[in-house]
Amino acid sequence: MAAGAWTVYNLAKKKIGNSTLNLASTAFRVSLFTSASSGAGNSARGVISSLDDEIADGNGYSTSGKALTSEVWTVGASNSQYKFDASDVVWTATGGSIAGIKYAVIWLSGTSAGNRHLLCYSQLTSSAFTLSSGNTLTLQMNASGILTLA
Amino acid sequence: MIASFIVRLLDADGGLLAWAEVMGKSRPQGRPRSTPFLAQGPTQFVIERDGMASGLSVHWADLDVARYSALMTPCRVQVGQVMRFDWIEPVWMIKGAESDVPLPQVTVRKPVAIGVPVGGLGVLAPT
Repeated sequence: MAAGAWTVYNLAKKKIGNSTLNLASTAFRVSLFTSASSGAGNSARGVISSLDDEIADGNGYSTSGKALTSEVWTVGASNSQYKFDASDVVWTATGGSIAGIKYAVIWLSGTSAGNRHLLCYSQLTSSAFTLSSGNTLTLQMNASGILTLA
Repeated sequence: MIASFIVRLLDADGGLLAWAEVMGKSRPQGRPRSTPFLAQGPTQFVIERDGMASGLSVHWADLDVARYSALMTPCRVQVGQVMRFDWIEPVWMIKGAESDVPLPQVTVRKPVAIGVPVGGLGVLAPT
């Protein structure tokens, strides 16, 4: 399963510039979407509520997403680069399968739907898959980070 | 080059009967991007659903290239059965040759780790 690189949503670029999206925040979350989602892979979307066809709640998956941990906005491979990075994220299918996995989306949590801003997405696989009960899905962040500013 | 291919056993409607990850040899032929898929040995399918097996879809997921290949003789399969399939000829994978190959969703019964490549905020994004 070859995953696509994290792609920054168009509006996220604007929001990073006007400080709506602060990459030094530690309130980012990651959610999973199905192949039916027309929004997850649409770089024109702005907030998490504008995306459809999230993975169904239950069996180890929560529709509120999973919190990223150990987020950093720090110097990258050289002094001329900065990177946004976080620890790997793991879901465990429990009591049933997690069905239809295709996209992962990173977003900044907020107090209201309009404040839950999309940052970036990845197409995890070219064909959706179901994770059977008792197994884990691990999103492995690259050694160079999630995003780099070169 | 040895690569991983996802092979789905399908019924006539493109429904999934079984699937297997098959290590195969590919020999990319340059432009247009094409390669024969040569399995390293027989493939064992654990049948997940009763039905009449009528074809295979071979998916090179890393490149998202797929090809449908009809079975010479359709056969009935039953859930729980293990079906051995002997590859007697290569399946030609050609980028863009077929756009409607059935690739029904598979259920993975082992831990999955997906490495996501770094994305770029600037024009000099690393590859």
